[in-house]
Amino acid sequence: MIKIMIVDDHVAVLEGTKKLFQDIEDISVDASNDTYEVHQMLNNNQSFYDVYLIDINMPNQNGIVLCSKVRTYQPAAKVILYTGDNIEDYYSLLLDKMVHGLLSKTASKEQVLSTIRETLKDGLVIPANFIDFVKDYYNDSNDEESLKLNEREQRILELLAMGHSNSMIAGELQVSQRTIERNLSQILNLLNVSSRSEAVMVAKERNLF
Amino acid sequence: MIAKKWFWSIITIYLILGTYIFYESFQSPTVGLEVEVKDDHWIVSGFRYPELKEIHPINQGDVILKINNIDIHHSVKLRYDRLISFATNMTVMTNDGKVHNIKFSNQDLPLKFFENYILPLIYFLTALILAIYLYINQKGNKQSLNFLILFILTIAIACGSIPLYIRYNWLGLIINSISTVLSPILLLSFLKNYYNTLAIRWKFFNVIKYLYIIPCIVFILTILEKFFPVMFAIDTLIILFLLFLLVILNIIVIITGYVKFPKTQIKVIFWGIVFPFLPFLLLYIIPPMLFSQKYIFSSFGLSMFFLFITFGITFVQFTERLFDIEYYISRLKYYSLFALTMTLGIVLVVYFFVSISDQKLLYLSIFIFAFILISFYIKEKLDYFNRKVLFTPRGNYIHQLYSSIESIGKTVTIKELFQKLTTILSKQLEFDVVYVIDFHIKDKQFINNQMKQTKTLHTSLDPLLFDQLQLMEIKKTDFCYVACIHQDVETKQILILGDRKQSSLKHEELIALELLFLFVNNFIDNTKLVEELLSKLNSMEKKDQGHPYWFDKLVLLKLEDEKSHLAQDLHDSILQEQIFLIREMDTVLYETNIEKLQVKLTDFHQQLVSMNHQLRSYCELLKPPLLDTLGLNAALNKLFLQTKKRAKFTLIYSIEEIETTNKYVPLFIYRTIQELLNNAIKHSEATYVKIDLTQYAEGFEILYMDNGVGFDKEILHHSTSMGLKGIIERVRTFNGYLEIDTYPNEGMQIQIRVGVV
Repeated sequence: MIKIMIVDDHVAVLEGTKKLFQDIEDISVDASNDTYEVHQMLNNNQSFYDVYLIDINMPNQNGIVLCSKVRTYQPAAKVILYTGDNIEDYYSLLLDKMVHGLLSKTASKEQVLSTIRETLKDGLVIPANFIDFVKDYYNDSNDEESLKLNEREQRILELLAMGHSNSMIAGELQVSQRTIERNLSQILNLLNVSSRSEAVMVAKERNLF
Repeated sequence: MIAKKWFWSIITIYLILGTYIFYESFQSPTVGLEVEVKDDHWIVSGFRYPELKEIHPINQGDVILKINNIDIHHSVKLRYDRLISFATNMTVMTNDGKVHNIKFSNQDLPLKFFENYILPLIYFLTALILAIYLYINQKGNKQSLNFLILFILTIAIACGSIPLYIRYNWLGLIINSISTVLSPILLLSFLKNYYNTLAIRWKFFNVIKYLYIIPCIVFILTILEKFFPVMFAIDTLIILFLLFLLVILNIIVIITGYVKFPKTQIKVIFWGIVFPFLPFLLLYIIPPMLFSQKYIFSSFGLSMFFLFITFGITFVQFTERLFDIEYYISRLKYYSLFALTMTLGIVLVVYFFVSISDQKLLYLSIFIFAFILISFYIKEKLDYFNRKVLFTPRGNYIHQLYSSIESIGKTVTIKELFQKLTTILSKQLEFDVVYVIDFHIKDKQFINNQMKQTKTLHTSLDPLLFDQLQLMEIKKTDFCYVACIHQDVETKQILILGDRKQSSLKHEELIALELLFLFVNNFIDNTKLVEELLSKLNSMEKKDQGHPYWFDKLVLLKLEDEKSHLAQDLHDSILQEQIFLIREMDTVLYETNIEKLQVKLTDFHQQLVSMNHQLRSYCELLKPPLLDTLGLNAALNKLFLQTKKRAKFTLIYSIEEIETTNKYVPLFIYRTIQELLNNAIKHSEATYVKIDLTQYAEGFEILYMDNGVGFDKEILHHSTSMGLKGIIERVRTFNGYLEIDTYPNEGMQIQIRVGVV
């Protein structure tokens, strides 16, 4: 027998979700629309559930706090975030092991059931784009590869590499020296360097000009 | 104050001593014979006053046998001083062996008699009268007055007994020695008490009482002279030295007093003592001490100096009010200088055109000088009474008035105004009791205005006086001044000034007061207006519960605007789709074909899911997603992800965790960055955008940077379309700092700093 606890502040959603499990014999469902009540229950160790379906957007307290509480009080239980939002937004919770699964409220009955069953078997049911998220997550420098400078910045770096002074660059580009200084300080800031020569070096490495 | 019986016994002692002194000195007229010893004979060697030769049969070279019926060889005095200053009679042997008995008379040298006898006598009597006058009138500080009286009397005795001292009258010596050292000590005591009234207290003053041992020592020393004549010379030196020390001590006390507390009274005392003492010191005390020389100066000059001291100090005691002294002196300088020039001019003319003797010329000039001086004072009085014109010393009153008005002008309530006014007046005019009361005109009685006042004076005054008191009028009663400083239909505000340390207010003070009251009256009127306005404002604010009414209205209107906008959006999108869905479902209600039904239901399900998505993204627009659940950083990361998808530029960002208890701060940051990114997508044409969010001690900082087209900052002032405007306003609501650094084609840098409380 699988015991499930559903926590959601909307009674209609609760009822709808409960109905999903009506004709499933090996699943019994309790539901609560009051986080406070669930906290009490956990504090008093009153009842144990195999799976918790917790809504994330609740007015008094968001579901994440409740999730971590369940994880500490009933470590054997599986916690599945049950949300009306885009579940992609909460992929990070999976990575942080805050929850065992994610379920969209618009998911079909089969999706819900399979997710619950798979989660109980320590499996993970998740859309394929989770891979993209993980890839992005571990690939921070991705952005920097696409970094491009505008024409003037590139010219400035070129002239810098040739050893020109600010006033010479200004003369070459026919702008004021102040403009060059401004642009240079912005380039230094962008590349996170402190000197002109360093800037030229880093920019070369990254093929910026 | 000294008890009556004590005072009169002192006066009696004074009179007894005086009678003795003047009786004794009357006995021996001035002689002034210089003598020398030749072959054990005392020979007349010179005459101080050659007139004597003509009156009496005495010549240079005569041998003196006896003085005052005593053998000259027994004279103690001549051992030290080869001068016979005074003598009653003398037995003289001329060159031819004749022996004369000469009887000297006071009429012999009338001028010397005047100097040595009449003048000290006049001084003696003046001092007596002055002492009695001071005692009866009892002006100024009582304690110091006691010592002043004693000082005056002692000085008079000391001066009067000088002739006896010169005659080596033993009793006279005692009197003279004691009174000489006693007088500067009394002066010190006087200074101590006088400083006390000026609130100057030094530890040194406690030592003064021990100084009274000095006269006792001197007394013993002088008694010893009777038995050991040798002591005389030593004693004289000791006494003069002590006198010198004590006088210097006095001068030091006065000078330090003046340096530390530059009050005019002390200055006057200083000149009153030092000025007369200087020649005395130089000519009378120092020579015998340094060169064992006899007095260069006659006792006449000496008594004149003492006279100066006495009157100088008495003058201070009388006119002890600071303003008075300052006032009188500055005027005296001015007037006398003027009078002097005038006199010199007139006298010069007289001298050249009228043949007149020098003496008469002198009298004339003194007369003209005094006349002009007095005329000035008369003119001043007339000016005050007729035209209220005053001689102002150094603009003192104007300055006081100016500062008073300046500090009063800063008050906002009438109560505060009265408080300031009373403290200022009590300070400037030295009144102990100053306060304002309300007088009800119809009831003719005072209104209790709960002012905490330790001493009330108005209760003992006749209410009729207040009833008759006109606006701006200042009246003097027996013990205080009353003035009506403001009046309206029901009440008069009356200022009470009482318990002044000095006597009445001077004219110029009164005029300054009147002017001040004139100002205060106007000021009260204006203040009342301001108070009314303020209370109106307060009540309005209370009505609006902290917001001006327009603010609520504005918020309400904005809210309504937003609502109708929202309603329109929902109506145009989801509502229409739902209506469509309802129609569709209506058509399937009676469908019996299960397959068709399932197809339809699947379709509906899809439509509903898509509607749900729409609605969700609509909600996300209204309220940033994730902010409430996963927090700011997650929300921002999502925002950056979305931006990367939409934008052509490379987005570089670094986000620090911002700790705050203010729940609006994350929303503020999110919206600001969202706006910056939207702006960058729409307008910047940059190849990169960099955003840094950092926390610092008092808040957080957002740094934005792009290398786009930039713009002329002038546009910001008249453009409404730009998203930057929204950011600027948003930052302003958080009382933050925002700086936009941009020029056309030079990219844009924005720094936003917000303090989080």
